Amino acid sequence: MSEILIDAEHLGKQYMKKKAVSDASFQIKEGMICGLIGPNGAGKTTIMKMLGGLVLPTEGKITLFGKTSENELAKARGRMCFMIETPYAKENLNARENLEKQRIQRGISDKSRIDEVLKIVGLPDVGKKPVKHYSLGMRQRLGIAIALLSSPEIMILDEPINGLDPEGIVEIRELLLKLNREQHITIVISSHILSELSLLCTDYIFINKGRILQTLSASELKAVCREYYHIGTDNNALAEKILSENLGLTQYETERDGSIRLYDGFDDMVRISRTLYENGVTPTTLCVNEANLEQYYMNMVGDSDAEHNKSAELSGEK
Amino acid sequence: MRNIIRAQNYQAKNDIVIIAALFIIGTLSVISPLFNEIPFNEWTGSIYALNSDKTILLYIVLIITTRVCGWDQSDKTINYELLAGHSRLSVFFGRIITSFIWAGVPCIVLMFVPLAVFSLINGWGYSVDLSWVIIRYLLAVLPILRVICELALLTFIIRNGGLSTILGFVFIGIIVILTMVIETVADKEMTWQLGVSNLMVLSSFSDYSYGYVNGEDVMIYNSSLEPSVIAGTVAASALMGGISLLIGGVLFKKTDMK
Repeated sequence: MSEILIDAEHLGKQYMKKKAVSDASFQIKEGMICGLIGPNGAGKTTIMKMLGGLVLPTEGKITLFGKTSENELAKARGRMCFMIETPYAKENLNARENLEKQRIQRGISDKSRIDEVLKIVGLPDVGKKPVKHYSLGMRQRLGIAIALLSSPEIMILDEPINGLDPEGIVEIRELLLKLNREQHITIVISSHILSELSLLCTDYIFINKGRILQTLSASELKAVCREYYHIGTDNNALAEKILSENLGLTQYETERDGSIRLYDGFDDMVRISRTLYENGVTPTTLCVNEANLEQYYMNMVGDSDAEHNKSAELSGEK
Repeated sequence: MRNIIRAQNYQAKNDIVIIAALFIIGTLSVISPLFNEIPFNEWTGSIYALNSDKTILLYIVLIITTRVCGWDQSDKTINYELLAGHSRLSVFFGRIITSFIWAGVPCIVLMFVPLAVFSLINGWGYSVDLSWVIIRYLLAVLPILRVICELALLTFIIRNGGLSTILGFVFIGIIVILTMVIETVADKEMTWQLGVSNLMVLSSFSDYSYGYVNGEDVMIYNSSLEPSVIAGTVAASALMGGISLLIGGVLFKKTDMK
């Protein structure tokens, strides 16, 4: 059974007038690559900062490697590495000088570790150019190299592929997969590029407006993102009635634009379209789709926003 | 904390601003008797002690302390020290000690070494008393350390190295002017009340009398210090330095990092 490395219980962060994170509970187990998914301002970076000790939670508890006290958490963070918001490096120093400084700061006696991490991230011949002249891709790689110096057991990465070109994105993805498989590093990663996360992650945490909406594994996500018929008609409400009453099909959902997502009847599509037409409904769209992470996420955030607005309205009415 | 200090030392050695501040301000401090039009060949130890400007060393303290404590907040160096597992107090006191090393120690060197060098070259002279100069300079270390603690507190509150440096410049300038105005207009000496004025009092000599040396009438300055000034220097430096560190440490422990 995988060890629980990070355990967040009812974590919350209240700023003056705003609750950035509310009642966030999740666990990160050994070996996971966990994607933290949410729109801008959802609370992803705040959660990472709380895990890193940069921001003090106003509610809840954090356990890292089974440790909870302030001093123990600080020590536990020595077994982790973080790259939050922007990759860190001193602009006036070159890559080796930055790594040397970090090596000293972390008390790593093995100087050869610098060459090792530069090779891992693909920057072995970086020369003496100061970091201020680096491209974004090089800075990201250097940030990961700095993170790897202390041979961490967990990497917490806040949007590490933002701003990279497609080649850079692929290289970072392959690097992270390699680190997870070969060095057994557990990874928590946030990104807006959901297609990339779907190629990388074993687990997902969905967050919106400071609240965790759902946590599920990649296999669970695959199960819910199953194949469906996308049916658009000139009278969707009537179409739904016909599907359930005339055809006995109940495995469907209504999309935000009113069109229908039908999860059964795959062998009967001719009868379905004929029945709709005979009852005065003209199909305008009829195609087979498979929901992906992006669609699942958009639906979830949309439902969450609708529920949030409804609660806000009810609170206002009261 | 030891690793933070070592890393900061490595960083400071590669920091052009720190090296330039030490070199430029240090040079200005050493050659400051020239601003009083004292020819170089007349610089005995006592002439140097009488005419060199020690308050200029506060600008080394200012630039280096705000650089060490503040610029690392702007570029997230401090954030990544916390993320690496260092405690907040280690990060805070690590920077205080680094400031002592890179600002305090050079100031001590710049006070004593030129004095020793000019004494070796041209002798001590007679303008001020050697033993009291040594006592004054040893005491001067205390307000220097006090100002480092106060500037560190200011920088950790403002969390911006550049702004802290500017405010520090303004603050030191105002104190220097205010001290001179109060002494001139109110005929009241500011001694240990503020770190800046404390350093000014310890490094300057005002009362003099005439003596007769080698067939010439010469001015001999009163080098001794009132016991109240000595006691006040020790007590105020310890108290204000300690309070600054306490407030700074507590505030930093409770602060969310950007």
